[in-house]
Amino acid sequence: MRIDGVLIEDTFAEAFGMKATRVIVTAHDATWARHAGVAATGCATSVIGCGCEAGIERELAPRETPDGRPGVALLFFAVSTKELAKQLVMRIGQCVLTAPTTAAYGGIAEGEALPMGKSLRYFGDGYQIAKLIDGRRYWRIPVMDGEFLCEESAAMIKAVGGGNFLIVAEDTGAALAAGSAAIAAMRAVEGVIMPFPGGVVRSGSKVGAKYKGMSASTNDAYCPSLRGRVRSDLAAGENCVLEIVIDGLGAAQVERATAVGIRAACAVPGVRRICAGNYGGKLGQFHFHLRKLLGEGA
Amino acid sequence: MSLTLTAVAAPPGRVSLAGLTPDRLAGLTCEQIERLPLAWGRQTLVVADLFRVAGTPGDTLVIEEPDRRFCALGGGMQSGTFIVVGDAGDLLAQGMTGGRLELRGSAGRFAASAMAGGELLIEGNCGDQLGAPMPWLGAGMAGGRVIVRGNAGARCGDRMRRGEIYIGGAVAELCATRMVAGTIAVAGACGAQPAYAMRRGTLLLLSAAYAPGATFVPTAACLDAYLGLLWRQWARQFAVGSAFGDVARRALARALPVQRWMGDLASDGRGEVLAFGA
Repeated sequence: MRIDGVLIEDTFAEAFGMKATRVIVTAHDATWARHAGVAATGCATSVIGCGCEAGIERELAPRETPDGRPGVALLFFAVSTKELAKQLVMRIGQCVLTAPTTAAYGGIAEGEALPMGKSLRYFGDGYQIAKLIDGRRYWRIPVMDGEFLCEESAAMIKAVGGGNFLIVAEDTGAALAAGSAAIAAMRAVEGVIMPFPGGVVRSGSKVGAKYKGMSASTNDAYCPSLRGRVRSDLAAGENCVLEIVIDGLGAAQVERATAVGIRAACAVPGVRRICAGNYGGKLGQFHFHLRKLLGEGA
Repeated sequence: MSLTLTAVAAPPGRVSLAGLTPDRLAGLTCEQIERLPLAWGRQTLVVADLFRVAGTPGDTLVIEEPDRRFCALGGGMQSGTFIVVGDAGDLLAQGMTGGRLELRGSAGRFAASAMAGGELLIEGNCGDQLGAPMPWLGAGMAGGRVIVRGNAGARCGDRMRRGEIYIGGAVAELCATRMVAGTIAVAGACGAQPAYAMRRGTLLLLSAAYAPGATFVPTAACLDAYLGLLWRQWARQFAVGSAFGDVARRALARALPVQRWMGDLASDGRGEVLAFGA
C-alpha cells in the first residue's frame, strides 16, 4: 500500500490499556490558562519515567468552558488508578492551583472519581468553601489573587496508551517536516494527545538492554548511525526516523489520529515509508494495523 | 400514568398526608389507595373519607383542591412527580429525598423541613421557617432545591445544612439565620437581620441592599469563576422572564457589581453574603 508514493508497511502498532482523565483549566485569559496547562502537563512524556503521560488536548473558547472563561483541556494517562490519582493531585496542586486566576474542572462526565479539589481544599486552611452546583461539588479555596475554584473530583475512564507510527525519511529536514505536519493534523482529533515534545519522539526504544536494571534501551534497528553495525531495519537512503506516540480516550480516537497523521506525513517530500512499533502482539491488548485503519481496499 | 386525588370533604382537623406520594402509591390499585389510613390526631381516617380517587397510579400524582389543614403533603417523597393544585398546609415536602413536587398555590410553615433531595417548586408564597428544622432537631434542610416564585416568611433557611433555596419575591426577617451551609438566593426585598448567626453558606441578595451587622466584615469579591458557574447554571435552569433567569442572563451579558461580606464572626464566621443591589 502506498500513499502519495510513500510505502505503508504491513504492520501494526501495539498499544496498551491505560487509565485516563480530562481536566479543564480556565483562567482570566487564554495566556494564563495555557501557562497552567503547559506546566501541568510538563515532564509527562512517558509513564516509564514520568509517572504519567499528559498533554494539552486543545484550547477552549469561553463558550466551551464551565465558567465562561478561556481555557485548555488537558488529558492525563497512567498505568494504574493509584498512579493517576497521585499524578493528578500533584500536577493540579503544583501547576494549576499556583497559576494566577485559574480554575480546574473535571472534563469527563462519568467514571470513577479521582480526588482533585477534595484533596487540594486543605490548602484553604479552613477558609475553603464547598459549593454544589448542578449536582457537582466545587471547592473555593482562598489564594492571594482571590479564589482557586476546583471541582471536587475528575472522572477516570479506561483508555488507550502507546499507539504509534514511525516516519522513515531520507534526512532530518524531511522527517521533521513530516512529523510537524502529522502533529498539526492530529491536533484536530478530539480525545488524543501526543505526549512527547512537539508531539514527536526520536528515542524509540526496544524492550531490555545489555545493562542490568534497564527495562528499555535504544531501538538500534532504527538508528541510522548503527546501520550496517547491527541488524538494521533501515535501508540505504533512510537516514532519519521519528516516532509519533498517541494516547487516546478510546481505540477509535487513536485509530483516527493515526490515520490523519500518517496521511499528513506522507504528503511531505522525502518521506520513504511509514511503519509502527510493536512487541510481536503479545504485550499490548490493542493492535492498530496501519493498512486497515488507512482503509486499504476500501 | 397519572393518579388524581380530589378533595371532596373538609378534614376534621390537621390531617397528615405524609407518605401519600407517587412512589409509594405507584404499586397500588385505586381501591387499595382509598383504604389507606390517614392520621388525624389519635384517630385514623381513610383516603376515601376525604378524597375521590381517579386515574391510574404511576409516576405522577395530582392532588386537587386540598385544604390548608392537610399537612406534610409530599412528606417522605422519594421519586416521581407530585402536583398539588391549590394551597398546602404546613410541612410541605417534609423529609423529601427525591422527585419533583410542584405546588400551584401557597404553602404554610416549615415547608422543606428536613428535605434532603429532589425539587420543590412553590408557585405562590411560603410561610415562615422554609427549610428550617423542627424545634427539636439540630439541622435544617439537608439537600435538594426549593424554588418559591412569591414571597417567603421569617427564618427562611434557618440552620440549613445543604441545598439551594431560591426566593423570587421578598423574604421576611432572619433569612439564613444560623445557616450551616448551602445557598440561598433572594430576588426581592430582604427583611431585618439576614444571615444572623450564620456559620457557613452563601446568601445572595440580588436586588436588596444589605446593611451588615457589626459581626460581618466586607471582603474583596474575587468571584469570576464561581459566579461564572452560577450564572450559567441559573440560565439553564430558569426560564426567560423568571427573576433568576433574567438576572443570570443580565450577568452573563455584563458583569454585575457585587459586594461581599463574611460572617457571622460571632458564630464561626465563614459564611458569606453577596449583595448585587445598590
